[in-house]
Amino acid sequence: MTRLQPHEHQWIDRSRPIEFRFEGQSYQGFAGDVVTSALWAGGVRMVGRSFKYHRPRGTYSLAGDDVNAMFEDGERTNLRGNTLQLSAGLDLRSVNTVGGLKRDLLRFTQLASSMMPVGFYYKAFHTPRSLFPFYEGQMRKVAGLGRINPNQMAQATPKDYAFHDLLVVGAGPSGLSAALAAADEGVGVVLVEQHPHLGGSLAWQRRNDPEAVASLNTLVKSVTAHANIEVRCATQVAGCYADHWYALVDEHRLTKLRTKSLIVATGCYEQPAVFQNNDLPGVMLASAAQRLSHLYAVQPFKKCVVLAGNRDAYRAALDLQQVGVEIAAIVDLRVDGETTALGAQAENAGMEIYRNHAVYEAIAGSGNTTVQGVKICPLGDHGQLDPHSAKRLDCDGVAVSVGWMPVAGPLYQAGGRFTYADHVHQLVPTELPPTLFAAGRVQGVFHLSDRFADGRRAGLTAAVELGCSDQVVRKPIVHAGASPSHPYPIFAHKKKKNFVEFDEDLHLIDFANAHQEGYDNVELLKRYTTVGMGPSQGKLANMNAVRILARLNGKSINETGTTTSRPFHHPVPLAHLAGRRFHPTRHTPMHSWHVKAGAKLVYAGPWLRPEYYPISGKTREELILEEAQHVRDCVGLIDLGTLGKIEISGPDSTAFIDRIYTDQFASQKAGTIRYALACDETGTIIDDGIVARLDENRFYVTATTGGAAAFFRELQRWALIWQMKVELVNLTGQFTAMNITGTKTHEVLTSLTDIDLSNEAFGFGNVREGLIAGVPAKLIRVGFVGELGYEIHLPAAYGLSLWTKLLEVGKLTGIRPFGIEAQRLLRLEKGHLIVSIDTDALTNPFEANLKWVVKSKKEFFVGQRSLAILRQKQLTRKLIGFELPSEYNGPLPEECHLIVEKGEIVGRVTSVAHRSTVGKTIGLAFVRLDMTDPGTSLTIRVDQGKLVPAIVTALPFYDPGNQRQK
Amino acid sequence: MNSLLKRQSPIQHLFDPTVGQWGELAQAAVVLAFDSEEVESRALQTLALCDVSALPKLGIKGPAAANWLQSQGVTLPEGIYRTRKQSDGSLVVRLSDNEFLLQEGFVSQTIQTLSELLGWGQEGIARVERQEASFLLAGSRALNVLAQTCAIDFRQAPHDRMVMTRIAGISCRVLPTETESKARYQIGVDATYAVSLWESLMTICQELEGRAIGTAIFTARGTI
Repeated sequence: MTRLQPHEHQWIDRSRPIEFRFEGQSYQGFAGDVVTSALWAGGVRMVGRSFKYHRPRGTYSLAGDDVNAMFEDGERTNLRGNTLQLSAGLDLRSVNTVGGLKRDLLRFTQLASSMMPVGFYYKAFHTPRSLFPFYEGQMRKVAGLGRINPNQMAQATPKDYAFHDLLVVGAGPSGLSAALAAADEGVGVVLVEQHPHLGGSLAWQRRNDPEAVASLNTLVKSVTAHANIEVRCATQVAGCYADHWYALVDEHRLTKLRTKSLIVATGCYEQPAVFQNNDLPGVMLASAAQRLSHLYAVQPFKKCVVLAGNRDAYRAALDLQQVGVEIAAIVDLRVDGETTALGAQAENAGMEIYRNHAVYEAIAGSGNTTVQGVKICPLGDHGQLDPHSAKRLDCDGVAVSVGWMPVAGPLYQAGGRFTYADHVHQLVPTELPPTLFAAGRVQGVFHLSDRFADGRRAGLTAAVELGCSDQVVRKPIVHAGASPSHPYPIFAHKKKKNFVEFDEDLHLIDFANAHQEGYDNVELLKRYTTVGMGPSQGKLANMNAVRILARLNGKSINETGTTTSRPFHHPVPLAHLAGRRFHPTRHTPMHSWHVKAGAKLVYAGPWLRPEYYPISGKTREELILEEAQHVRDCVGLIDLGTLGKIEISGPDSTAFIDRIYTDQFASQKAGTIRYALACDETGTIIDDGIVARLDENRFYVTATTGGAAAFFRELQRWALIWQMKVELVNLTGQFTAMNITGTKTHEVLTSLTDIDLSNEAFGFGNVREGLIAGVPAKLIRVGFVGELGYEIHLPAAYGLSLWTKLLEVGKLTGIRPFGIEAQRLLRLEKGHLIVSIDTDALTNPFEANLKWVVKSKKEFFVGQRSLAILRQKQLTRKLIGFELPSEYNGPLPEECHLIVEKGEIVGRVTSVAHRSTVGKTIGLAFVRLDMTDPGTSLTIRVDQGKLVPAIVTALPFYDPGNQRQK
Repeated sequence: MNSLLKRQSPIQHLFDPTVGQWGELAQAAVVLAFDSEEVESRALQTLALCDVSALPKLGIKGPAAANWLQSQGVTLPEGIYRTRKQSDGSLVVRLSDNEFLLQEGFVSQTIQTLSELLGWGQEGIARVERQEASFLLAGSRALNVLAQTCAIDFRQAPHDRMVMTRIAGISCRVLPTETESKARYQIGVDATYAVSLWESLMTICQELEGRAIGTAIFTARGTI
């Protein structure tokens, strides 16, 4: 590992060497290295293979703008070598290879590249249709990049919110100046920089300019010390959203940032030139070469050719020469070359300069893994090359510096619009919303002094807009002098390895072919060729693609247009998006008791409820039946804390309830309860429960566990619409409830309350308020499971205490808790439906045998009009009970199994119990209307298409006279 | 009949009964201290989470509610969602023109007295059962915890105004308070979500080197 001499601004820490592995080989780098800088320092030139042709690829941008270096480490995949910080123990392999990077079996794909033009798979793989699954399987094998490790454990990552006045994106000279100017005016600023250090392009592009270095040092010192500025390095602004929300992504988390204003000072991506073999390892952007040498102390080449289209190329050539690179030549695309002092400086340094020349071809070394030289050609009057005049220059690298493209994603996403400006040959923002500002190179300002000034202007303007300053704001600066970008650094070649898009291996000729096929619109061209759709999202390809299309169409860039930029602009780990994955679960006050008792818990919406209480050696079905039988024979206790509990009071409460439910409640006496059914405007059942009238204007109603929240919202909505004088209180969490039921209920309950529980004083269908174990509670005499029983509703804080007290007091009686499965069985035996299990999104009360609670003559209730219409129509189905013949011994039906007749569907099972206290397999089902008479034979189609006989049975299955609950 | 039952915080079972010093607050078993006073005081300055669900609460609503409360000597906040701490440490929050939430202080008896006076309700006044869990999040890193769980900027939140929001995906009411120039946040949540919320907050607190503390540190002061 050889490194250049140290200087104070390098990013590596030579005191902290780090060992890592790549493709099975050991390497050493330093803390502060990215993986590709360490590999380049270790002599590795091929860091990956291309997506389609598996061509060798090397370091190109060293800035995360290309995806030549994509790795996986067994747990993570598609790690970007240009930005992945070196850390101890890394063991990396290149993605998208079969058999390793060097011996990749898919490298032979490039031999058939002429048969795989863009879009070939659209045309080749659709016939014969029968082979498509085969094609698809093969294409999925070779397409894609990294492999996901399905055994990787999910990791919860923190996700947080942050709030500031102003977000400044980019900490180069413009961003630093903007942040400082705004902060000096009292604005709270968050300055976000994607790299681990401040400075932006100043950190690597102006290292040999003492004045620039001094300015940077001063700025960084001021910014980091400023009380109004929070600096976030190594952080990406991955997306900009409405209302000034921004997604900031760092290694550990995603931050949702909200500000009042935004300054984008993101700078530019250096752009490639298109020439033959422009993707060979050793061909790289001049900025990448400068990064390697200045930030990581790695010499990029021994001898290189600099392909120039602007002044920056000369600065790069001088930088490279200073670190010992022999400059074979500067090949300048411009007729006059560089006319400023930098041009003279390069000549004085002995560099040979070829003006009005271009690189025609990079000459590949063995296996296309290195550069051996270049062929350069003079340019004709219209920018065309003359291959016959080609001249060979030996070198081991090509540094390309032909132009820039603004890092425009944040501006586009924040509402900015761009126009192509000929004086800089790049897109510049021309329409920005009032709280959005751009500064520096992103808006075409390139001279260093201008960038400082433009940053200050933007910062001050933002401060004025935010009301923090009344200073006079200058107009934006306009670039003067030669264009920093060449208008068309794209050169045809008789062969086809001049790449426009490195991600997807798109050659220049692919664009001409697509255009010839009619894809002459920029959005269509993008989708057909897939330019800009790879992992780097066109950072190095989109501008050249638009230039090519514009030329093919004979139109200007502005007439051609650009594609849309959407979040995310940079890759975001899915774990960051998932965050901590909060999944709130609701627990009743008795939950801890259930857990201690070993209850089998099951989710019911957000609630966790005991399904049943396991006993060693007994099966689930045995236990459910046993719990149910115990209720029938003795006494059981079930947790009903999940039940919706709503208090309705006020002078209009009776009228309100009458309008909500289908039954009539005006005549309901205080101290009684009634079954209540609620429908929506279409007459569809939405909820049911009981209405307990506590006094003249005070009601306590229950709602289903799953529907309580929605039903309460519905009540609030109607109360507002009808403008009625009612108070609605959702007590679902404030109260808890339990049902003690069974023949021996009184033996347990009597000792705990002063309420007279005698049938005469407190009959079935009544409610009482009083003290249970000294705590104010409501006692409701119900019969959902068909036995003597009381729902006890009391303040939640006492729930667990009462539960344990009942079990303690009832111990001698034999009280036993039962779960929701036993309750479902017991109510099924009584023929009671459960809304949303035995009803669906279309069920009306007539189908569900609930005509008896629809009081059509009432003045009004929700759904009344629809039900009046439905009443006139013939029903198509009805809920019935069924049982299996006692001699049947085959597979058993499950809920949702279909009922069939002569191959046609005539119904479906809604509830079923394989074993019941009535000794049969019983269930509820919707069937066609002509099949509802008791005794009718049904056929249920169960799994694997087997047919099961069943018989329609009158409901209820248990205690038809309801004697046991009275 | 005297109550045979004890009140319980919805998260009481999360605490090991053999760890820390236990006591009683408003008929509920509470952890007075998990560790020494010094440790808990230090946590209160940096990052601490305390279960104060045992403090009784009472809801009162209806057209006559405001007048009745004032007639009982309660000073009411003027704006909706504004709060007013009473001289005995109890707290009143105005939820609407005609609805109030009252919370007992550590040594006050206001809620108990009002509750007995009110009974099941009176003409123009409805009693609203309030059994929410309450957690106190305190310390210099409390804002970090809120930033990871809630989309509200609590740095700017006034200290006498309740905020209705979602924390860790759960609907909550947050009451920023200030004691000895230190911001504290009392978080009220439906008791059925209390375990989920406590566990989410405590996970983050522990990552930020915070801890659970007992109520004794507040009992001595009479207020949070």
